[in-house]
Amino acid sequence: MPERPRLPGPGADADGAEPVFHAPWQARLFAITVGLVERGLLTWPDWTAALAAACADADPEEGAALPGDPARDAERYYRAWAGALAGVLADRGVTSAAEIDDCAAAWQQAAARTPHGRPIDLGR
Amino acid sequence: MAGHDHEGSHLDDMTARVMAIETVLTEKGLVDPGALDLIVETYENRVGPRNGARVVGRAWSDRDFADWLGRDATAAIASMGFAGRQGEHMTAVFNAPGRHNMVVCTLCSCYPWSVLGLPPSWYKSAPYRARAVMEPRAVLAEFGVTLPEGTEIRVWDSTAEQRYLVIPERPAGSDGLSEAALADLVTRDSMIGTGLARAPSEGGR
Repeated sequence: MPERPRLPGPGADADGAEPVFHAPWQARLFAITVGLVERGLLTWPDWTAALAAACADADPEEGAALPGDPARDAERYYRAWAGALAGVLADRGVTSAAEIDDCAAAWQQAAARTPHGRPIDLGR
Repeated sequence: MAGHDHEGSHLDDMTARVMAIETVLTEKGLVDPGALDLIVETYENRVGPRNGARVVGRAWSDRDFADWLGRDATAAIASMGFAGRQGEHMTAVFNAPGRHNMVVCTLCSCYPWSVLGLPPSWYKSAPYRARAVMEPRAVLAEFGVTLPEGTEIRVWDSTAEQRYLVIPERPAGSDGLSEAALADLVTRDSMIGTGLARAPSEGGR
């Protein structure tokens, strides 16, 4: 089927072609966090404080030129975001780093036994 | 088992990690995967800098609206239907001859989602956060913006409670254009302050 031409919608980058998210996991991580705020599990100021701390830890490259490489910047930013979220969840006693690690390993194993093109089933 | 082994799939670490967070939270009843789909869809397709461009187009063509925007940006923007997450506590800062405004979040990535969508990667990057306040003129030069000598640059640091929308200067030669045509001259970067509005001769979007 021929691909439909993509129209620049209201969410499209106004000045270039940078996607809103550079990988599906970044979109999902963002949505999980916004969802937790909407459920009242977390306030936005508390979240930005945690994110700011994680970003400060991740900051490299004094004086690098702007604008940088978008994909690399996004990866670094959302990795810091993931670390901040795991920390916040642990601080609030919602889940532990070990529980997340175990579940991530289970997803990896489920993927390894799933042929390409099939949905990956965690089986739990 | 079939005659040959199917090759398994591979998940990269971050994908597996985020799937794990979602699984754990879903099993605890704290996250609804359907609601997550909706949030992603909203920010990928529905909310973006064209909202802000329409606000600027109206401000350029309607003096009363511009005054309202200056007094109470949150209400003026909400009147156009642009409200919601991270659109509370908005301040509009107006560029003028001799005065340029630029927005940063030095600590993380606070940004007016309701009018600009989610921030570009450079806005969230360490160099921009560190340098926008220290050396705004050098940063602007890297974005290809050179301001007339003597222009005062004001840098606004966003927070979770306060977000800024830059109203760029209306470009020369735009007299008589409709509100919609004016909005087409407004770029995302011009509303962050790292760019200027396009001149009509450069063509709209």
